[in-house]
Amino acid sequence: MSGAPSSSPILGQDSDVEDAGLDEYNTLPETPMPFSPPPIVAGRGRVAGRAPAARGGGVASSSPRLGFSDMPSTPAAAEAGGMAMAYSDALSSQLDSLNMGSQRAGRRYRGDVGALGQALSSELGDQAAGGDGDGPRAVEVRTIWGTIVQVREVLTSFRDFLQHFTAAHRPPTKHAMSDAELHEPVYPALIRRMHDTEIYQLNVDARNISAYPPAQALYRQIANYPSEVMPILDHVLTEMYMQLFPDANEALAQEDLKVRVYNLHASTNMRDLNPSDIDKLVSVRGMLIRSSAVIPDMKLAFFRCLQCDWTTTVGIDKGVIAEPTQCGNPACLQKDVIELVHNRSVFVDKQLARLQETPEVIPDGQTPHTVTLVLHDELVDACKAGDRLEITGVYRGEPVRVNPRTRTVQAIYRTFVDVVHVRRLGRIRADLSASEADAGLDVSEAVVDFEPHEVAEFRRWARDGRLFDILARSVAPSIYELEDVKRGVLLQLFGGVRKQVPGAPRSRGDINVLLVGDPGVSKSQMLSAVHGLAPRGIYTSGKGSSAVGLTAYVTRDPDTRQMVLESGALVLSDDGVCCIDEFDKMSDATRSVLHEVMEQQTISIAKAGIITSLNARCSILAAANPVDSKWNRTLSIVENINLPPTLVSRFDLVFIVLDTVDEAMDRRLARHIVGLYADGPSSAAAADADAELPVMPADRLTRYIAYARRHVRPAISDAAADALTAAYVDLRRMGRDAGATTAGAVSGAASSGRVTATARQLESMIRMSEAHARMRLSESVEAADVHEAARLMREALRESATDPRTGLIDLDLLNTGFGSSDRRQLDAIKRETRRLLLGAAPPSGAADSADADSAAAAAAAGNGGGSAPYHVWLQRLNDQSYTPVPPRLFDQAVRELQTEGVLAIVGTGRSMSIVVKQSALAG
Amino acid sequence: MAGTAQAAIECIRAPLAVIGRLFEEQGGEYRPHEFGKLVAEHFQGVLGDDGGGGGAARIPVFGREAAPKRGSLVRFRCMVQDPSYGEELHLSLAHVVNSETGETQRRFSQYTDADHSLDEGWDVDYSSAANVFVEKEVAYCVSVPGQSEWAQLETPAALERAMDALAISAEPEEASEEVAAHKYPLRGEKHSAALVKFYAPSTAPRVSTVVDVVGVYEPGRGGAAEEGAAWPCIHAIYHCATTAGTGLAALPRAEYAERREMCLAHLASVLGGDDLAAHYLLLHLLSRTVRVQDAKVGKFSLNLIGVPAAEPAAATEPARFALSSPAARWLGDAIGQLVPRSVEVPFDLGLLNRSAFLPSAEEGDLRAGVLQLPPDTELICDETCLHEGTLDERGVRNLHALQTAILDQSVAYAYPFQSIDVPASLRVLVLSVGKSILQNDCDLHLSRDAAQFLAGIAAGEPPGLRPLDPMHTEQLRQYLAAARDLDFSIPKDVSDAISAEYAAARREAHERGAPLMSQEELALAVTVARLVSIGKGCAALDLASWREACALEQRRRERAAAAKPRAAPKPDGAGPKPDGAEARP
Repeated sequence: MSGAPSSSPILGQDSDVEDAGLDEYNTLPETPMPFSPPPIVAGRGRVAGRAPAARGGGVASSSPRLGFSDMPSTPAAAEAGGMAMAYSDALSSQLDSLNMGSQRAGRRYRGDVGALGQALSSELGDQAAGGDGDGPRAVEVRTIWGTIVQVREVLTSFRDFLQHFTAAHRPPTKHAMSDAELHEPVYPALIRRMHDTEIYQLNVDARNISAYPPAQALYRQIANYPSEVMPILDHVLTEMYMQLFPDANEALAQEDLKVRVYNLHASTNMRDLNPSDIDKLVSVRGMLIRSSAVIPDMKLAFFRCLQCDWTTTVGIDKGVIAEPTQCGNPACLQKDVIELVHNRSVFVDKQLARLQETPEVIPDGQTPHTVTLVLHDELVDACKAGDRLEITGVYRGEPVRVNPRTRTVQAIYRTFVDVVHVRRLGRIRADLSASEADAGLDVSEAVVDFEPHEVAEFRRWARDGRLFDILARSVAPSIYELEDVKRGVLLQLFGGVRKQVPGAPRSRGDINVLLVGDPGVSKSQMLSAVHGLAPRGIYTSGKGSSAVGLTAYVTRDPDTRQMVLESGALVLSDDGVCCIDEFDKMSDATRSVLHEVMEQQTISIAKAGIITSLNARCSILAAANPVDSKWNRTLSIVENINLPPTLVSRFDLVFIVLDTVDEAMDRRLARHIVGLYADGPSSAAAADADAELPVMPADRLTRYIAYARRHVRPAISDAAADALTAAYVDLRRMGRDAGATTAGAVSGAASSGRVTATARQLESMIRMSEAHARMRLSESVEAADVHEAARLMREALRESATDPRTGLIDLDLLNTGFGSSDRRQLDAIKRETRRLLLGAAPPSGAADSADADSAAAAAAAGNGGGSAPYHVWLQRLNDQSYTPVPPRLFDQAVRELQTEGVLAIVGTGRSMSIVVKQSALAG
Repeated sequence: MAGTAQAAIECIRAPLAVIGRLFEEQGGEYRPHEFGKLVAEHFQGVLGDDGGGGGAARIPVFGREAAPKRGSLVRFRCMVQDPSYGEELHLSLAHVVNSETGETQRRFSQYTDADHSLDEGWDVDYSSAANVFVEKEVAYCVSVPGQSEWAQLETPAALERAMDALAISAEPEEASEEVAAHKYPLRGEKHSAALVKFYAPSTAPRVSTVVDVVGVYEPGRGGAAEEGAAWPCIHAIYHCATTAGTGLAALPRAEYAERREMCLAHLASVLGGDDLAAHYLLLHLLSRTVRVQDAKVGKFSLNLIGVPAAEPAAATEPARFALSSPAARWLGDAIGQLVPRSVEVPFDLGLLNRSAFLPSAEEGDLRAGVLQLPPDTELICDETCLHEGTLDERGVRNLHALQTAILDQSVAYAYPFQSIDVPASLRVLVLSVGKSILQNDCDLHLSRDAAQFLAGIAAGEPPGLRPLDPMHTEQLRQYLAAARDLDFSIPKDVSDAISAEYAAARREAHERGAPLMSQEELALAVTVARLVSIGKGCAALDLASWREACALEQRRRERAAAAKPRAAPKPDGAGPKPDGAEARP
């Protein structure tokens, strides 16, 4: 039919369109596949054809039917053998009576159903145009060739489904709907929305189909024979649409409405796709790693004669566009004067992409598989590299065309998936209404990533009373002891609840933990264990990081050559745990970045023309060494930790891990290590007492944590609120109570004035209680959670904030660097220094009276109340006191005296000297 | 016997014909999985077991000699470098129909990429449901990197090959043996590679494992546009995981002691008479990484300190993956004699900056990295040739990857958007002048005599050592392989004794004010004890071995302390300094 004289799309062109064979598949320019066909040259010359087509009709079944091993091969219908014949008859009988056909001549058909589908689609279209009014042709029972699918049956059941499916058939569990909403048919409303938004696709959830009783067979038919059934669905939808909106003919002239089926019952693993899935609808999950550019696929080629301007349109036939070699104008009849006009040819979009397995499903120690996707029409550019997707499509095999011209049977086939529907898998949003609106045209629920049996197992674990102990043991089983640290780290993995109250700054839900301790106590091991468990996380070492590398940096994109912002470690671990080792070795510039991250949970960038603020809602787990590389008992906490107290106070839990010599513990530790380093399972460690506790394997634990974080948002109950206030008050009262018992040590002070808890500690306790509740998969925080959290906090405080001089907890040590005992001592030192400097007689005081004369004498014998080098003053002060004066406190005292105007400091460094002010002497 | 020999020859020369015959014989229903098993069993039966029987040794070895004929059987001991070439479907049973007469026939083709050839008038009946597809997994395999000469597969006797070459063949094909340079771990080294296709039911083995593949050979199409088509293909009929080269008969207990002595003597002579170093080197060669819970135990990377520095090489020729300095080469050769797989990495700045240590799949297919090596490979790193210069970003990353491989025994493969940690058990030996820049499990200073001996070698003096008797070498290899595979356990009473000793040692050290024994030191001691014990052939630890291990550790520590230059006495940390000379800001 090509070459028939005509200057416009004519009737006869239909058959050419129906002659469509399977499309050509171009190679991905970047990906070298082992056997890829040579690139197609469309246009001049014959395009290389596919495998030889079947005979007869030339219309249908030009695709090799890749054998089904499980389905009957004979059409059940007794009628004449199948569509192939039916097509030709139908066409020829309807050609004359066809008006609609001519309008639809230039139409495109959806590429993802392949040749058969297109043929069927057009047939249905013609049938609709011509013979819809006069009812079904009762005599013919059309069957799709090679199957037992009856066309009429499919038509009616889908129409019924569209008209009568209501939300009652598949009631949503997450939120309640009113009765009226439940019984309102869903799809007519969606069709109306399609008309309003001019989006000509309908996403149909396959589970809806299987939930609707009369259409259950339809589900199986769609899954098994998608290429044939989907055009029927399209046709039904178009009919319904045109019934509702009769004026929409122009929009539909180009193409049919499309039905996109998704959400099949089971998602197949990429590794499990085998030949029995060919030409069936499958659902795979993965991550898109690469997509090609948009490939224009020629469907109709428009040719023009150079001499006489005669034009013709040629459709693609079995992958070949038969370029006319001779002008068809009887007046011209020249050879080799035909040229292709690109502008008037019809192209459709196509894109090739590769989908790779996500890390969670890859078996241990293996590399990921990939599968090739072919995207058509509207799906082109629907997703970009890096997205996690769930793809519903038709799995196909296509011969690798090595030598197209010889008469051979292609033995090797390449497989790919023709994509029907794309769904992006992302974070589950907390509120369902947003997700519902986003799903667009469907009443579907949030994607559940967890199998039901997994969830049941998680719930079973959660009911166990020893859950905390079990999980603590499972966190890093090879590390011995450090029970409290493991508990703290476990709470950090679960995390508190992030709250956003309108009008108030958002409160963070992440718990930050700091580990300080001697070398060799497995701090780094703990960090790597956590890094392995956390769903998202980055492991960095303090020494090797820079502020820029932690936050975000600007680089040049190799592909587009533009400046882009690359996320640094903290941004990449958004919603995860960022493990930082050698925290104290970090430079101060780097550490200053962390201040903002830990409180505001954002990172502000202002560089290279990019001014923005990125989310960095990560928990930080940091490990640091003391200043002398080994914990020095005599120095205070802050001196040992060597970190600014402002930063330390931002950590919710500070654990101090020391290498103590304890015989029993050493023995147990040695036995544990020996057991670890022996191959046999019957090692001594297994006979330990706490072998009764089951241990959850690491991957289960990761899933458990992921599940808990995603699905559980505990709220604080009243009982818990009371418990929290009680615990907080207790913590604060600890200062006063303890002070009362050691009243003798404190001279004349009613309260010791120690700070044991601030509002920050209260917030930390709230977060930890929420994390504990989340661990139990419970939606409300109970008093028991609070008690556990408070106990853990007290344990951590006991180690980290205990003043070595008094043995009492003093949180001020952490907050400001000076404990209350320090402050008392500071006052005493100030008093003495002032006396020393001014040479005044001591008022009273047993401790100093003995030396008062000598002090006065020394002062008088000195420079007469004038100046002396710094160290001399310190020496004098030390000489006359019983206890040595810490230089730090002396320094502080001198500075305070300077502000009070008693003295002035002159010079710096070694030559610093203190000059007593004359005004102070006089007064 | 003659019958089997004949059958064997036929299997080797024309395997496809044999397979076709098997197909006809089995008749009936064609089930791909069972047929695959049937073929594998038949071939294995005729050709004898791998390594044994006369049959298997007659199969020509791929890559070791001239290109085999198309369609003949080859053997290939290879490492799976890239299993991600996906699956292909193969139309193995096609029904063809004669367009004129209408008669149908079955056409079978498997284990070959060639298409079914059709006569005039015949066409494939695509709609027939009896067409059967078989899936096959394609993997790119390379010859094993670092394989020692003595561990290669034996090629058939030269005479036989010559006879085969004389035979009149239809088309002496010129196979283009193109290999992709970026897909071999040691870039620039000579190797052979092929695409191996595993037919169902066998699946492609894991990445970086070594397999022995026997299959039908098909040369690549030289000069084809795409890379893939130019590579030769081997259609695997059967494959088996290879054992480390030599047959592993279990050694009787009595032999262990004798061979251990022999080994120690040999190593001591290699190292210039240093017996402590010989002990430790033996322990290193016996080590094997086992994964217990989430930790890797049993690894024992050794750092030999005191090897003389090499002279800076002329910058003209690019560095290769072979040790160049004489002393290091002396050691490397000695070790290469004893282990089946060893790779040498000189820390030459050019090499470090240029090569990629980690495999990366960012650009489509998996490019090999230096660390993509089969398990139980000996990695000898020569730090003595590290001279002044700049190590750029890539070099730093390479060293970091090597450090991770030493400590964690895992190599991170870089895939787009994710990075996969594949466990790799590598034994790393670092030769350095001073303490190594990498953190190793065990650092050992060589004695002065040994250092002088090696310096002598470096200066060019011949070592004057008697080379080891080949039979003894074979015995040593057997001993090492057998000892490495022993299962090890620690009985409870020994474990208690060790714990008591540990606690007591710590208490004493605490009282004396000496540094305490830490967890890591205890772990190292236990590992040493384990290796000492299996070196003697004992599968369970006894106290004598434990004492011996402690003694070894003690001597090693003493040597380390002696080698350290005198350090200034640290100021007393008790109490604040009375004279605050420096004002704290």
